[in-house]
Amino acid sequence: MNASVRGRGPAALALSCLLLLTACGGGDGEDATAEDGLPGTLVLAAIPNENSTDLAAGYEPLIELITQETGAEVEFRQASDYAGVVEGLIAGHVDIAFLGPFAYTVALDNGAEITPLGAVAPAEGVPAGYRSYGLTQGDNDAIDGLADFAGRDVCFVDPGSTSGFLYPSAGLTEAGVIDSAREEDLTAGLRPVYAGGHDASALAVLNGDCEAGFAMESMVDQTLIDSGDLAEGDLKKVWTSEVIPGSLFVARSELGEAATERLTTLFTERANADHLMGEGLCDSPCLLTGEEAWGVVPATDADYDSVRRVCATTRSDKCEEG
Amino acid sequence: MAEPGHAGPGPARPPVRPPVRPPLTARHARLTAAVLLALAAVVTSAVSLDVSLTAFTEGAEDVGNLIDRMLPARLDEPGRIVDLAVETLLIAVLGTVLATVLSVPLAFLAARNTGPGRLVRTGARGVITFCRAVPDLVFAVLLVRAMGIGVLPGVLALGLHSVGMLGKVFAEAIEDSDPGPREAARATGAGRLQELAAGVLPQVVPAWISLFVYRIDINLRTSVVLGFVGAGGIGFALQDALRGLVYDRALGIVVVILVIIAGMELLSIGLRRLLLTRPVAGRAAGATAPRDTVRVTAPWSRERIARFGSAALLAAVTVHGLFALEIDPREVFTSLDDIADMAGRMLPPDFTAVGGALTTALLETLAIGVVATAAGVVLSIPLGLLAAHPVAPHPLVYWGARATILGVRAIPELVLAIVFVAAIGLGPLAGAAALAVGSVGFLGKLVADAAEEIDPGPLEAVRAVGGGWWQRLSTAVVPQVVPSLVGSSLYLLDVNIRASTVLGIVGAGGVGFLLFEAVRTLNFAFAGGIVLLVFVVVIVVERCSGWLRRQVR
Repeated sequence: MNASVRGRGPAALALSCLLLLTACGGGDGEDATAEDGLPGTLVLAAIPNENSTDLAAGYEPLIELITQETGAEVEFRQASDYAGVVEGLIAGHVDIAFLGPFAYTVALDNGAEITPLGAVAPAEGVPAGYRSYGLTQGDNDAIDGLADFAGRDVCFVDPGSTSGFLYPSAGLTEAGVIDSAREEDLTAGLRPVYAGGHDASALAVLNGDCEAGFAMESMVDQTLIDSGDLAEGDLKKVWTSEVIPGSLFVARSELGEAATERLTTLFTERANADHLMGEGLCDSPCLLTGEEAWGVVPATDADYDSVRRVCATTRSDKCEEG
Repeated sequence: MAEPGHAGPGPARPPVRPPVRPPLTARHARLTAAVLLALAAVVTSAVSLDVSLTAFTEGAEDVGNLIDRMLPARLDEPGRIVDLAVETLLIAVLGTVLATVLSVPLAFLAARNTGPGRLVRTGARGVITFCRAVPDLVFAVLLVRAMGIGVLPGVLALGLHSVGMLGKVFAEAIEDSDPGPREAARATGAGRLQELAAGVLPQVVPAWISLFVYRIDINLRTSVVLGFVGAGGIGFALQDALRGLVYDRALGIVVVILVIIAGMELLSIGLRRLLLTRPVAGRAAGATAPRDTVRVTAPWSRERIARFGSAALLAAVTVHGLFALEIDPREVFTSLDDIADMAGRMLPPDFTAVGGALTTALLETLAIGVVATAAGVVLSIPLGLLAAHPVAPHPLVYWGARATILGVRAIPELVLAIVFVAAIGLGPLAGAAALAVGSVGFLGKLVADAAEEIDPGPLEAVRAVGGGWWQRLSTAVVPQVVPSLVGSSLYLLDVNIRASTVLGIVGAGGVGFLLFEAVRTLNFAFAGGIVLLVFVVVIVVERCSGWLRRQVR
């Protein structure tokens, strides 16, 4: 017991040192500005999409491009959840973010002041946009359309996902399987599971964990087939969504008009596989972001009106202004 | 300082004045070295994370804006949410019961004073630590793959991961027990099991009960994550609201969870008071026993009735849970093959999937863990002590401190994380801050309970010689709780190193994030590698904790 009484001296010392340290740590890092009023350090935020084993790999060429062109240092932050990225945008701690269309509209509804820089397109000359599939096992004869999803274990990607939740839930609402995409109606109509990723969702259906599920088209048609996880015909497509506007890069509006314009030009003209490979910033195959896109093409807020319309059909509280 | 030596009147006082300062011993030197080392670790970590306090004050407005959007809390269908919460509570109870059944024998095997041999002890400790190193969500994902979606994999995942905590703290309670009663039992010729049952069990049961109830509380909050993998319950509703940014609705659900854990906390406090106040022994025995037989069973005291009553209640809840959730425990055995097969996919562990990024992630995780723990200790020890009966100067202070600790515990990790994202932006600093605040709910609770279990003797002695509140605290309470403070603080470090949800949301990366990414992308061999890495780190922390606790005991 004596020893413990003695132990208080050093402990008090430790405490005071810690306080001193935390008190003295602040103050540095007032950033110098780069060109066009851009801050010296740009925070780029995204959530991991598919090939997360590469983690930051899909963003490295972009990061180098931004640094080369603007002189700004890029701090890349990969968050596991849109909530973190969106709150960072709203509070002005994130300068550039890569968002899914649904996350973009939710961010705006919650008061984020952001400007679209451009949306990703799967290949050159192809408009930005993609589709979502409703899936079941290749040999499952009991499920032939969304109406057959009623009462079953259904895999979605994530409640913030556009192609993995929003459009599927709209489809299910229209098919009469669920009354709305609100949580209580969703769980009343079927047994929803959030698989966490498009790959996880597709593979959960393949393994039979879920009887049916949803995933974006490139994951089913390309990525998982290339990786050998999926063979042609393993999964049956029982539903295809309308075209979903592409995932997009946004900038914090507070950066100023000159800065966002400069970033828009940078992204839409140079953030693509051809330019990046020409500059030696990216090896072939040069696939950008977690979505393995070819590059960024122009996008405006109006391009996402279709997302808002679909959101409205789900009658979800996520689609109301917060 | 009220030195008992000065206050003692008397002729019996020895002529030689006892030394006021204890002599410098090797142990003192070792402790000083350990404290300096810990300090160095905190300083290095804090420097590597760019810790600054100004960042926090600047973000006040953004946090205000965020909280504005969260309020007022909204509960659309209270009846349905309560039903879901009760379902989740049943899942949590079942998981915790399973964990307790597994942990009690493991704890006896792992404890220094009851384990049969070094090899068995190390093995038992290894199993316990391993359960801790594998996050519940990873257990859940693996079990869902082996057994299909449902409630049972969720219960098993909670149970297995909980062994990591319950096995550890149960064993520590056994190690802290007084050897006297055990020796007494042995002297009467009791067998080994009788010796443990009669000599050790009664001493550890009060601590075990509060740990058991606390683990139900933790599992109730954890199953919020499990709801996602199909385990149902309130978790799905809460996650859906949080991740869809419908915060007011999420907060309504949090209030329901808060009410449940507050109820459990009150139950735990009540039970502990009953068990910790020793009844006057042996009054009833003589009166009720027939003359010609010798009764050796204990009398039906209030304490014993409460003990049996709560055991019966727990058994009833467990059975009800199995039926209500339609769980068939036999399914575990029929799917053993598949479970083994899934576990086998984590072998051989792979450390190379992300190259050097793994080392960076590990170092960052350690730095965040150390800073968060240091700040968490500074925040929670005073609060925890005030939430302990022998310390709290006034019942209002007691209830205030208990309520604060409870309130912090009820806040979902995601909310804590985004509050600090709003305040200081994405990154490790926000992660460390969120973990530090979250620590209050965990460490504060452990400190409070430990301070209530102290021997009241020294406290009364100091009071008797006229010692004030500070003197009672510094000479009677603190010396008694130091070993458990050290143990709990290092356990907090262990918890913070394994934390992954918060760090994922704030984009701070770390090994936890890599682990979930590995599981999500079905790279199980890499997941196995990370689990092994975390396992080694946790073992090292555990060893340090054991050594330090022995030094201060």
